[in-house]
Amino acid sequence: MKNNKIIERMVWIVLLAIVWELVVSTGKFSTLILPSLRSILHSLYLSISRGELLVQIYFSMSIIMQGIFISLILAMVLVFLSLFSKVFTSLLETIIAIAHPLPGIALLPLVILWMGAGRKAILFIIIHSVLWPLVLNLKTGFQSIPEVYNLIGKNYELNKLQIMLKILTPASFPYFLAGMKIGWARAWRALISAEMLFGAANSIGGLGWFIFEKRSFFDLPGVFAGIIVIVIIGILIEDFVFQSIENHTIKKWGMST
Amino acid sequence: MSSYLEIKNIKKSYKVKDDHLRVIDGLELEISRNEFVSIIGASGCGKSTLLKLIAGFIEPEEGQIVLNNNEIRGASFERIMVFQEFDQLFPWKTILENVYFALKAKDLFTSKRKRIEVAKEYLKEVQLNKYFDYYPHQLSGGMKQRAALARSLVTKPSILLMDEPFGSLDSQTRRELQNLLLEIWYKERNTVIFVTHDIKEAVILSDKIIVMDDQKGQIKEIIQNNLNRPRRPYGHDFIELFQKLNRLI
Repeated sequence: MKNNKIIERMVWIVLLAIVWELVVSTGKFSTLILPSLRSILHSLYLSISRGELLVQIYFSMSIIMQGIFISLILAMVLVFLSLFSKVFTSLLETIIAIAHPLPGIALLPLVILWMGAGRKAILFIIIHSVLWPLVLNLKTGFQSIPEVYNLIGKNYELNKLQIMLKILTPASFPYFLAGMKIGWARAWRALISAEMLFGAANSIGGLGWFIFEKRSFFDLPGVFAGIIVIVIIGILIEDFVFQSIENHTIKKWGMST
Repeated sequence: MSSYLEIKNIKKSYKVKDDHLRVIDGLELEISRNEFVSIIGASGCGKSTLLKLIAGFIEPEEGQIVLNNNEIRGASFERIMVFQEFDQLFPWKTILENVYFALKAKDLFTSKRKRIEVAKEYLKEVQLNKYFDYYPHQLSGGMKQRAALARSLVTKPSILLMDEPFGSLDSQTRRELQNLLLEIWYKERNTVIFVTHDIKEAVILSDKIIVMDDQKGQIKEIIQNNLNRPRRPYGHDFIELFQKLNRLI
C-alpha cells in the first residue's frame, strides 16, 4: 500500500472509532452488548500479555499454513498428472465441478463422522477450501502459456517434469498467485468457522474457538478483541504478504495481468 | 558426397475440422553445411511448418529428414529455433539468466562462474552488455530479439532455425539486426535456415532462396544468390533478383 493510502485508512478508522465511542457514551445500549473501545483494547491487551491469544493465533496460523502447504503439493501433483493423461484430466475436471462450489463448512458434519472433531478435521476443511481454486487457477495458467515456451522446453531437451517445474510453473505464476489469494481467503473463513465448532474437542482451539468461548462467558470485549485480531491478520496477509510477493515477482517481471 | 541436411519426400498435413489439409506434400530439399538459406512464400504455404519439421517439434507423416547421415528424431540442441514472438524470453529471468538457462540446460561448463562469463560474452556479441540484469519487459522489441539470438547461439547449435525473427520489428531495427546476424554468421559459421515473408530480407541475407508453392506444398524454385556481400538493397543486380522473386510469389 502507498503511504497516503495508509494515512487515508487511518483517518477513516479513527473517525469510525470516534463514532463508536459516541454511540457508547449515549448510554442507549448496555455496555454488555456494546462495550467501549477502552474495554475492548484492555481485553485485547490482557489476552495478549497473558499469552492466551498468542497461543490461539499460533494454533490457527500453524494449521492454516500446514493446510495450504499440503494443498500446494496436492495441486501440483494433480495438475502434473493432468498434463500427462486426458482421462485423468476429464476425471479431475468432473471432481472440481462437484467440489469447487461446495462450501467447506457444508462438509463439516460428514468430516466429524469420518475423522472426529480434531485438528485433522479442520485440516481437511482447509485443504478442501484451498485445493480446488488452486488447481483451477494452475490449470488455467498452464493452458494460457504461450505455445512457444513448450517448444523452447523441447528445443533445450528438457523432459516433461523439467518443463513443468522450470518453465510452466514460473510462467503461470500470476495465475498461481491469484489461486493462492482465493485459497487463502476461503481457508481463513473456513478455519474460523470450523474452530468454533471443533474448538471444544481440542486442547487449544484456535481463534474461532477463542471468540466462541468468550461469547459463552458473555465477555463481549473479549469477543471484539478476537475479531480485531482476525481482521488484522487478514489485512496483514492480504495487503502486505501477498502485495509484497506480487511486487517481488510478477510486478518486477512485468507479468501482472 | 551427400549433402549436410537432406529432406526426402516429406509429407505433413493438419486436421482442419473433419478434413486433412496437406501443407507439405512430397517436399525435397538439400542444404549444405554453413549455408545461409532463406525460405519465402505466401502465408499459409507451409514455410513455418517446414521449419518446425526440421526443428523436430513435429514429425512428418512420410519421408525423412537426415542431418549428417542421421535421421532426426525430435527436437535437439543441434537445431535451435529463434521465434518471431517477443515473449520467447522468459519474463521471470533477467537477460543474463535467460542466456544462462540455455547453458545450464545443455549442461555446458561445470562452474557457475564460467557459465556466467560465457553468457555475458554472447550478450556482448549482440551488443547488450549494458543490460545483463534487465528483465525482458524493460527492453525494446529489437533488444529482446538480440537477447533471444544470444540465447540461441550460446549452446553452439549446428543449425540455427529462424522463424521470421525480425517480422515484428520496425524497418530500421530490422536492418540493424540483419547486419548483426550476418556478422555473427561470418564468425560462428552455423548453418542458418531463415523463414521470412520479406523478399528484400531474403536477398540481403541468404546464399540460397527457396520459394515455396502455396498450392502444391512443394518447392517452386530454388534460387542461388551470388550477389557480393555486404549487400545493399539497391543496384541493378539486387533489383533484378528482387523482381524475379516477387514474380514467383
